[in-house]
Amino acid sequence: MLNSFWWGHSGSQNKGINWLSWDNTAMLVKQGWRIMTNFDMLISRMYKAKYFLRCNFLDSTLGHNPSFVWRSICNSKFILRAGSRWRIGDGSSIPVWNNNWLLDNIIITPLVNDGSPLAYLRVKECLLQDLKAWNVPFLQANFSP
Amino acid sequence: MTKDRLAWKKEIDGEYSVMSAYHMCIQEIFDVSHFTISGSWDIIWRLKMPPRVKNFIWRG
Repeated sequence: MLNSFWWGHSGSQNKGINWLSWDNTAMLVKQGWRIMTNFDMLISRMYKAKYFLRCNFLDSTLGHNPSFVWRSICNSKFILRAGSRWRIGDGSSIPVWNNNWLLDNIIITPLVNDGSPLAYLRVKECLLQDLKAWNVPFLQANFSP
Repeated sequence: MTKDRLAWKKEIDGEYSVMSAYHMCIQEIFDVSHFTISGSWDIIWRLKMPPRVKNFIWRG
């Protein structure tokens, strides 16, 4: 399945001009989407181990000795960022900062520094469990309006 | 309680679709010129080793 669209490189002198087209881009981004949403796939687990062991896919960097395919996927990540958003379940896997989870597509940049316990805040902590409501006392205590 | 999951904005069911991504790229005119990966990657395909190994190097 992966191979079906990498044809731009079967000819050895053709240095990926096809990558410029949006159509190919959309198909490339699909590979990124699959890795981002299917954690159990072998390729996801391999990329996770090699390139983003300590963070999530969207925050990953190019890393050490990246392969051609990973470079390509990494370059196209900004489209995934722009085109995706979280659907909140219990909020336990959604970081508050730098993630698209609010209704109006606002992405909040961290108001705290890296060392703060709030740097790894999850959406879950901002919600009252089982009630689908904001944890207002918590928010008032930790966020200045 | 349902699980958190990522949804693709342009589709009602939240599943990625190449068609809507393509339209998004065209409408917002993303600059994709930096997608070209520099380097002599075609060397991989000239190596004398089984195709599956070449493919693995290229993907990994």
